Amino acid sequence: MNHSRLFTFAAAGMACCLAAPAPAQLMADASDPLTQLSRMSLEELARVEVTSVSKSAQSLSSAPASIYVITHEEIHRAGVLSIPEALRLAPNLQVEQINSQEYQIASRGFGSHLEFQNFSNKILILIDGRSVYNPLFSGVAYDAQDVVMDDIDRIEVISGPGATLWGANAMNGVINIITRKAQDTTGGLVRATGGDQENAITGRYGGEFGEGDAFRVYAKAFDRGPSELETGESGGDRWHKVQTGFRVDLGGADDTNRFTIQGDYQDATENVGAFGDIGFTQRDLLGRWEHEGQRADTRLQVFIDSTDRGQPPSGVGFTLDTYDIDFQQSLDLGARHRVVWGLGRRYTAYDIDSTPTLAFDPEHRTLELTNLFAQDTMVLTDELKLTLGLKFEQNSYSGWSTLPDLRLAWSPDDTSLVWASAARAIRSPTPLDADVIERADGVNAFLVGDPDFKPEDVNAFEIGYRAQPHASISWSLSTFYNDYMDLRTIEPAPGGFLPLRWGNLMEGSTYGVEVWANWQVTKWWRLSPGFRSLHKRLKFSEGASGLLGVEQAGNDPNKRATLKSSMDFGRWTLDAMLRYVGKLPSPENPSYTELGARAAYRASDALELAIVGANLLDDRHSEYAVPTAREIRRSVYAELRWSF
Amino acid sequence: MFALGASLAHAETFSLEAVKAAFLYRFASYVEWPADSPSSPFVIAVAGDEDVAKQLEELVPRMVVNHQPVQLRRAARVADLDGVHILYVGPEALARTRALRTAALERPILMVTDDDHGLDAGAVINFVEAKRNVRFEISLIAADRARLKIDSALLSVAAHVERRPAAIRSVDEGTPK
Repeated sequence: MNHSRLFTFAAAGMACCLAAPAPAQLMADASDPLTQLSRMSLEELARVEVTSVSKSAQSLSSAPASIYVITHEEIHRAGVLSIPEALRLAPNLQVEQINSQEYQIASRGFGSHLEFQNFSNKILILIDGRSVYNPLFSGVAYDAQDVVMDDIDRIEVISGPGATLWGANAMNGVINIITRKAQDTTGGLVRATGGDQENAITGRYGGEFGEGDAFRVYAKAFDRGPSELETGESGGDRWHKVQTGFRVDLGGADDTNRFTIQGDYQDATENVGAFGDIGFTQRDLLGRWEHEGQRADTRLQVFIDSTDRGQPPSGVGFTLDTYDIDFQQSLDLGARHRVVWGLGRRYTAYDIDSTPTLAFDPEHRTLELTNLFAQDTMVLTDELKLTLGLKFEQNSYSGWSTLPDLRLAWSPDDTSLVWASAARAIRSPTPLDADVIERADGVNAFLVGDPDFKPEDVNAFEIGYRAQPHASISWSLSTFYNDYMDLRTIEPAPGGFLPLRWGNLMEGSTYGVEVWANWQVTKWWRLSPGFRSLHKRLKFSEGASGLLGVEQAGNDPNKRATLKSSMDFGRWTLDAMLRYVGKLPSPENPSYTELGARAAYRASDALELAIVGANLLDDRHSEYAVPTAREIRRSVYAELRWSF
Repeated sequence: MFALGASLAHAETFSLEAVKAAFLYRFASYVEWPADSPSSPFVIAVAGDEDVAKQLEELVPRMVVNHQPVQLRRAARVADLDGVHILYVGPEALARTRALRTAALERPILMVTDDDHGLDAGAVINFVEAKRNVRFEISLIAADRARLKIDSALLSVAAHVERRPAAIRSVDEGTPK
């Protein structure tokens, strides 16, 4: 019996609803601070936070975690058109493009093994505080995650566990996409791009009203061309999307009460080879109240997210509605304790259209997720801070989990930080783990879910060091050792063989380093190298069938290295990023080196023209090896950005 | 870090000097100088604040104001004011720059200060430090005297705008009420 073939057909269907993550990390900004400042509007300048630390030093993030911040400036100067492409800028991520529609993105491994229905499910992504993790299959559908790239304030990429703050599935990493307040995006913006692979247009308009209140509205659309088969023929995965949305922020920086309301709507049509077109629509609406009190800051957030996906060739379509309420408060207890606590509840109602080969029992239900957490950051001495956090989380499948987190930060001076952490995180069960029924012939069950499927579990240990030894150089080093338990496996039926069922009989460890640096070589030239390595030592637990091998846990490159260069020549800017990605072991995908570059000319404050190239070194190359994966073409496009 | 909200990292922060330097450069786009003011290059002069001067020194070679190249000058004597468009007088430097300031008041120069008494000393714009930001106040009286027109966009960002009492304004403009 050819298991992998049987798995492939089911995975292909779900893969189109999902994509997977991967790893990299460096210090905050991509351009020198003066240039950034000089390009800000007056309103932005007036809101800039001023450091009182050392006079000309750039701020050094004090977070005791492996965190890389992709700045607005960096995204702008890379000329990227999508969130997955922006995430390539983080040296602590691994990003593989599968085809024109899908990516796998991961941190510290477990990127995915799509042939064996393992998705990149150990990283959590939030857009303005809204989780976009898919609780049906676990993982993230990157084709449905989009914002106006120019409105992104920053993307915080945290490699390592973040479960105490963010909850389950923030197992190996968290990606926080944060857009600007409406007050910081007033005026009009039109960005038009055209090239051989993609044509796109974005328009945004924002304005102020009342006293310090502001709004913005936007619309964007793109048509993304297909990838290629090895033969050079079209991969048959062309797609297009329209998206529109708004954001209103009531209350300015000086107000003690601020309200945010934002929403988006998107509608996409994706070509799936000979099958024809499938589509999805997604809507979300989020409201947030923030209160700055004398002693405590309070935040209350609610959001609704609704997705409707058509049925792909050999997978399932579904509707998914998420309702989430979250409360957080942070307060100072005396001079030495900063406490953050919160609680939240989420309802996820879904309805899956089962097919003869891929069914779910039940097809529809409402999942519930409840959490309660508290965290105390203690100032032990001027140089030493200890953070203790604990989260209790309950999900519909596996009940309560306890997610502790301990972090120590030692900052002997303003320019260096040593930190260490120990934390536990889980990947919670989903309908795919517990309720699935797969029938290869449409009649007899071949694989069924395990109602007692346990959360996948990790105990993670990290040590890191960050420093800015000189005004022009900063660097960061993080090392990690992760100990996994209860990773998903495939087991025979008790007392027989078929139907197979999911189990939790894999364990093992991973370790590696993430290192990056920023070097301002001259006033007009910045170099930023980055490197990450990953080693996996996985094995089956006692009693496991060993089916499909430990490779099913994820197909990850051992190494990734990047080098970014950023140059200013008066009105011209020239940016480039070289990336090397090691080979993927199983199924094997060869290592590759690719180059992205952008040359831009600022004709005036209002008008910028640029030419951007992606994957320039080869006509086409492959980043991931599964039957649905395609070759990624070199692409070049022209870009016009007009603000008014 | 681990602050409120889902955000792990602080918003990026910048040095005080860099923010002030950026403001000085940005002000130029919101001010109209009289026709008889010196033409190219556009000169920003700094007195009594070497930190800001250094930041500007880095910034201005890359910048353009009204299609003119920008030049930085350290001003100490009255003669240094020739051709100057913006004069920035640093904190605690008001007293020792009296002669310079007096001369600047007679010219179409945008004088910017960083002192509680900046506007009283004749500055058009004065930096004030808010909690963690740099804000500024504007005196339209001083702007009028220097024959500078201030764009309303700049006024809207100012923390405080000093205007002439309406009665005096209407007398000046010859439309008594």
